[in-house]
Amino acid sequence: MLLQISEPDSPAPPRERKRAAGIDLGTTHSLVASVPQSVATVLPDENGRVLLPSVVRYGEAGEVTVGYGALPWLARDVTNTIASVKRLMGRGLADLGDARHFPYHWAETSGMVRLKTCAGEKNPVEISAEILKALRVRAETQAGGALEGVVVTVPAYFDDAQRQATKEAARLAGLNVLRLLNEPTAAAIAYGLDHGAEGVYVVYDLGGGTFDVSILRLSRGVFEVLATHGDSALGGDDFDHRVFCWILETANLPPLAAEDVRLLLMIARNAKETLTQHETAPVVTTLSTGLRVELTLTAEIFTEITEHLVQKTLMPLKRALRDAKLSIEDIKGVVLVGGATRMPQIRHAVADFFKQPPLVNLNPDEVVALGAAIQANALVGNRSLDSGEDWLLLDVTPLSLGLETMGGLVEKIVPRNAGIPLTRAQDFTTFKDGQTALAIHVVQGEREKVADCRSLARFELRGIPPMVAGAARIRIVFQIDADGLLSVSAREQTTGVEASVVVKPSYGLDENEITRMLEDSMAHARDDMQARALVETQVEADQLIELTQHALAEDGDLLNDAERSAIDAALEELAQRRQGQELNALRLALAKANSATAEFAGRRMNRSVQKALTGKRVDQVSGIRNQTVENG
Amino acid sequence: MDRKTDYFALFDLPRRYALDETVLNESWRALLARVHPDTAVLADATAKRKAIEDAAYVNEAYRTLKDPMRRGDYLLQCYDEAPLGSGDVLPVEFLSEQLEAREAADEAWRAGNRDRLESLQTSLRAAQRQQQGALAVLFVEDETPSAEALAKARQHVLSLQFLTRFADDLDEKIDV
Repeated sequence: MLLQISEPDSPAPPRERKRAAGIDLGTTHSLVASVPQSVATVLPDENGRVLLPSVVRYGEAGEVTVGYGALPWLARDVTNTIASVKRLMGRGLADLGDARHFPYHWAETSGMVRLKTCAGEKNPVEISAEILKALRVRAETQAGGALEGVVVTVPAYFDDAQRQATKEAARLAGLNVLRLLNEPTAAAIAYGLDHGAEGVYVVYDLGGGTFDVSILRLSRGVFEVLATHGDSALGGDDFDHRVFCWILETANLPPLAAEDVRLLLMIARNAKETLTQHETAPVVTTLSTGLRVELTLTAEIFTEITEHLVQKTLMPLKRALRDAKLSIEDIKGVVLVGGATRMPQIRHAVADFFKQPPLVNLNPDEVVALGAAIQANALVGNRSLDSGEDWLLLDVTPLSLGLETMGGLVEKIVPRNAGIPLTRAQDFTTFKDGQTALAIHVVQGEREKVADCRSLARFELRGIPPMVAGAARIRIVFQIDADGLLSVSAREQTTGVEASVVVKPSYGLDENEITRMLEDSMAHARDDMQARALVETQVEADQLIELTQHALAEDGDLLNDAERSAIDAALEELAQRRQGQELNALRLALAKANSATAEFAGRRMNRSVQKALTGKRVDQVSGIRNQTVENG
Repeated sequence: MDRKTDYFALFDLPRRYALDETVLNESWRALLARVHPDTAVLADATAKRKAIEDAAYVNEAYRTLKDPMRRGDYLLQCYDEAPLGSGDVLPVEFLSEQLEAREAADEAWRAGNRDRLESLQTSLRAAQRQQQGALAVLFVEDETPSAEALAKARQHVLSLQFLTRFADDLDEKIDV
């Protein structure tokens, strides 16, 4: 007998909606959003406030206060009340060039910074987790149950250490991270889906402490990031700091107590925000010493003292355009994101740069969280319930990744703005006879020399069986997942000896390091290129000389006297040029020596093939693959 | 997904040098829509890893075919040519010509002569297009190139590699 389980024509039973949320973990404030009924919405607290100040206070009795409740303590209990913790994510104490400028008590540690508070030592991951917990409670209360998962946003320009730290913080807060999403990409999703945008758009995202610019192509439901650039230590905070310095100078204030520094920074921020709507802002307060400050900040002065900060955002715009191979005429619209883009001088600078007014018909504070919520909703599979159209998100990795090679140079394995996820393999070999280990040093950054890039991880491939130099074939594989997180593995191909590491650096780039690296890379690009070309050509020259001498000793009988002396002469000239600093002369000598030895190399190849055919296995005589043809 | 699939077949493209970029872009997006890790967020660890590897494979294939130099190199390997290596030598005439161009670029750079750099870049682009044109004739649909054609193609790919590096270098110089 047949049991009819369901009517063939009846609709499928309704699937239950899964609870998901998007979280924007910001420098100044954080938000949570969700998609309760096919439309994304930011979730307010019980007092109707959407923004949660990213401030955490540890109390004497062990209580933790997050958000508005912690604000009054900012200037009263400086060392136990932490603001802008995002700036410390994935950073080591040694990296914080300006550690003294923070009002905190630092604990001695070699890893990520730790702050001494009355509740014990706390690191930025733990502090961020408190903010995330508060948002989790808000979302779960309103959703009526535990969250299946969340999407947490990060600045597109965050490096590996900062991303790892953010993911750790979410885990610590008891959240299942579905995806780390780049903030400008999140904004593009929210904007693009809402406005049915098609074409190439720029997202200019100036937050409290970070600056990102992303260029995306939006077409038929595909959000393709073409290039991203930024500055992970530039934001609204820096504008506050400029005003703070202006107050110090103008009022001619003596060195201040930590409480007064905080107080003046808050006054400075208020003045900055006032100037968004008004032409002047009062700067009036009384310091703990009883000293009275009464000043007026005009829009004109504010624009003048922050001009260089505005200019600093333009270089990443230019570089992103270049990496995307686009010009200003190709840009259909510019979306402004982040509270700091409310400043009129930013809007003017962006309009001037792109020769079109930016799009401001969305809330710059909320758009990132909304995009994250839409993505989270899609990832848990609710999208089909909302009969929304399918869309696809294709992102990139912001910074180049490479390995240290001979001469302290960086061999780039993954260029910046490469599409993720990705896997890149490159073969290396040993350079000494009998070498049994290979040190692998993974770096991130745009400069040519290892010393100028960020060190991410070091590991060693051991147990390589002793072979002659150049016989081992070591394949190093870089993998970046959809969260932008890196893992690296190494494997000796002939024997299968393996070593791998998930790159989890204990701390990330210094506050100013990426900025400095970028500025340096502009300033030094010329020296770098020269220096690199010279070192590379010298290494090449050395190799050719050594190889040829070795070959002459072995197979010199293949040459007649005239041929032999031609090679000797070419080698001698090359050796001489090798000692100098003249790049072009060295290149020419190298080209000559290469062509002088080409015929000899051919004859040797014939001889070795004959040898191989008379006994040896071919795989014993074939050489290791050389990654690149050195012809520069 | 079979990660050994020929890159051209993967994107429904004929195996030849001339490229239909529209087909490439559209196939790339269609493939990623199917295999991207976003489709496997709630799946188990094995499925997640497979999604990363599949998507990475698709991205690598895309990058290889989109780039004129890599596409040439890949075609050589399709026909069992050894990968480009240090055994490859370009004609001395080509090399000395290039050395001269490089010296001109260095000089223009030192003099801060942006126009000169840009005109050098323009002629470099023309040289690249010439090499690409030659490759398009050597690698055509449904035809296995002769040994002679492969040897020629190898020289063109090498030249293209050389020119591409120089062009990148020039881009950097123009930017600074």
